[in-house]
Amino acid sequence: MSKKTLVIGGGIAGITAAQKIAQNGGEVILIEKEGELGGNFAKLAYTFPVLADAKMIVTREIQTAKATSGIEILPQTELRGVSGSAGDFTVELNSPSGTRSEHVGAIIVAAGFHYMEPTAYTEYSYGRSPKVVTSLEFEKMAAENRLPKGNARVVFVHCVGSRDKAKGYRYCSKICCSYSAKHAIMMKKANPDSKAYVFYIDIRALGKGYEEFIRDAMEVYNVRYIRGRVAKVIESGSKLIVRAEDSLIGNPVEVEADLVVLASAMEPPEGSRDLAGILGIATDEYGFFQEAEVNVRPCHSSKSGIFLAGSCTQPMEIASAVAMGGLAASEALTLIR
Amino acid sequence: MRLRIDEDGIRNVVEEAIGKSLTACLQCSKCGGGCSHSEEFDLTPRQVVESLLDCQDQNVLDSRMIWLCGRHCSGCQAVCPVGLPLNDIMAVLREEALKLDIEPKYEQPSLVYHKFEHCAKHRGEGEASESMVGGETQPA
Amino acid sequence: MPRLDKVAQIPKPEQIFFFKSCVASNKYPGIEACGTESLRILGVEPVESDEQTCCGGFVTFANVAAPTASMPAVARNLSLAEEKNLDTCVVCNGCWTFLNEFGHFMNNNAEVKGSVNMMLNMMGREYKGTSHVFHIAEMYYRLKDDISKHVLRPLKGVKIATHYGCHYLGGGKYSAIDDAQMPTYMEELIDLMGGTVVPYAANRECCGTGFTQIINGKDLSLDHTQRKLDSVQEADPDMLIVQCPYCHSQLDRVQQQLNFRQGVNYQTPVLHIAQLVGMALGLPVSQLAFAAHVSGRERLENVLDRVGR
Repeated sequence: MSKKTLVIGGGIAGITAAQKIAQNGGEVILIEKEGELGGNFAKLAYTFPVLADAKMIVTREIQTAKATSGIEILPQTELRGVSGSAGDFTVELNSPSGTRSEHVGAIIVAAGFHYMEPTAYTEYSYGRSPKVVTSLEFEKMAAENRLPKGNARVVFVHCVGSRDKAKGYRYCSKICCSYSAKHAIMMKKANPDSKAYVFYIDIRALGKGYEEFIRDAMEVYNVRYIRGRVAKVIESGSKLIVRAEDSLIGNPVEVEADLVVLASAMEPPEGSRDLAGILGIATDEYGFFQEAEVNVRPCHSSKSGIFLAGSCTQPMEIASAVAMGGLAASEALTLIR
Repeated sequence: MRLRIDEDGIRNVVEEAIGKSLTACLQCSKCGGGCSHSEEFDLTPRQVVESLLDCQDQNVLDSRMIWLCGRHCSGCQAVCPVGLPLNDIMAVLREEALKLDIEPKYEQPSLVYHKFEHCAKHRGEGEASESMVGGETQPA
Repeated sequence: MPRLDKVAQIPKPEQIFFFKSCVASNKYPGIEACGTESLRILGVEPVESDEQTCCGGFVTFANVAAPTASMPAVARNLSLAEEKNLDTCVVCNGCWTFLNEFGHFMNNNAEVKGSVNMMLNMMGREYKGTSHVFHIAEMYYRLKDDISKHVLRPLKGVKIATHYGCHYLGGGKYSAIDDAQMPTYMEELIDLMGGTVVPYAANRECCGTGFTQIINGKDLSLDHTQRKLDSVQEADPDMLIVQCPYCHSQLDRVQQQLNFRQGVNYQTPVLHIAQLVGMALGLPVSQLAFAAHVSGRERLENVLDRVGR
């Protein structure tokens, strides 16, 4: 029986799975379609609910993976074909240097997620005004020290693309409440003179330290939370006018802002349905990979020998992705041993 | 005042007319936030929906909102994340109010236009309400 | 951004049924004159009918009658276009919404269509639902290449603000050629004719006619128009372009009422898109019929001096 395992996706879930298999004597081929490992995690400046340096953590994990014997890392590589069954798959890998064929015992899919481009949200002037950015662009601005200076007002908009049957997805993306709080805190730390406003529908921060983190944003960093979904962002001269209803008092409100940050939804990775077609596994109505059983077998796909890890199954935070990577690794080891 | 949540009333009529359940409403308040007239309304669309779900039929039927909103401006309907047909909801509520003989509530009720009786009969009355504040009259 | 797939569906016919609008024809004759003449220049022959009546939307809009009461009028008017095998071109957002929406409703509701047709049969007519309804602004966008070929008075240096109108953008999510929240096709047309687009904050707001308030609650209406005009005045355009005669009448005439009531001084000329295109295509000044306009006449004359009479 072949002992190798193929891990698809070099984000934090894939890196963790590869590390755990290799540390337990297995052999791993880790493929990543981008040139660098790290995935979405590497695009962040800080983590939550503890404000730690995200770049430092992800670099450390990548180094560990590279230093562990038994992991072959193939950047710019995509899966082209799969044949065989659990314990004896033949996979075809394609990279700029050519196509190669490998025998593997198990496959772990850790394809990650994609931040939705809110182009459908024209009411938020996205794409028209350069002062309306997505949360991912905000991370980039923060990393490049381009956050508004002086007495600026920044508005954070929750649920852009999430909980929206008409233009986005029905599900809750789970992490936006927390990362918007993180962004508001980053803003206040970078520029204490600035004012931050967060428009929310419900605050969904479930996890150790999450509620405290958001309360800190409100109480320690003085971020104003207003309950109501933003309806319109209007350009007015050099400013933006944000219109919403404060639904707790039932009155329309207006905030003049210098920057509007849209918390865009987590959506399935690009080409997830194609990948599922190649692997012969099922996806759900949105394009996330379908678990065999949601509660007790979260990392089994619909096909034996193919396991799932991380946010390609559902929106999740880093800690869950790491845990799921570990679980997928142990499932794969059970199969190939 | 404590509201009493009791039997469902016109909620059922509305739901049957629009072919959708009002429970779809997320209470996100995007409707009221974008409405260009919400300053003048006593209820916002989401409050109408919540009141219907809470069986507060009288509050809704007595409001000014159902008379002022829902003229196919569609500002709320176009942004509703769950696609509730708010124009139609208001039209159904107006019909229900009329069935109960509730008078339309406009700031200046020129009922001439409403009651379907020919304008000529009420001409004097109509002009009085137009010219009360002065300025050029502009009926249409 | 305009939805190009929708634009591609608009035909470029040799003839089109030109639907007259009550407000346009009575208050601002220039809209109809420029509309027909400009279409002719662009190679589409407008066909009018003396039998056409009001679209029937107004009675619904003004709360006079239930929507079903307007449907026979809609059906009858559309049957006039159908018997000539033509599509319909309207100049008014109200006509556009009501013809489209009621037409759509009847086409998808056999029972209503049947009872409407019973009434029409008494007049010897039948409503089939084959005539597509296009707004003249949509036609202009479809014919924009022809417009750029025929511009005789380039609008160089003319600052123009736009107003689309709720009944086109909000009501038209099935058929409007542009996004309800961020439309740009009028801006494109203005660019094409050499004008300068002036943005202002209240661009997407209602003109104030809405919600039957100009009829049933004039104070609400005037308040709203005032907010809109304040924002327009801040941007200081040479003219405000509308595509609906009702918005036109509200924004043009209420300026004088507010000047009188509030002691303010609004003087912004308001033009229909057909008049703007007519001006650019070099129609005689008499056909633009600016004499019917109330506000900002001096500024309008000044614009005419600049672009040439």
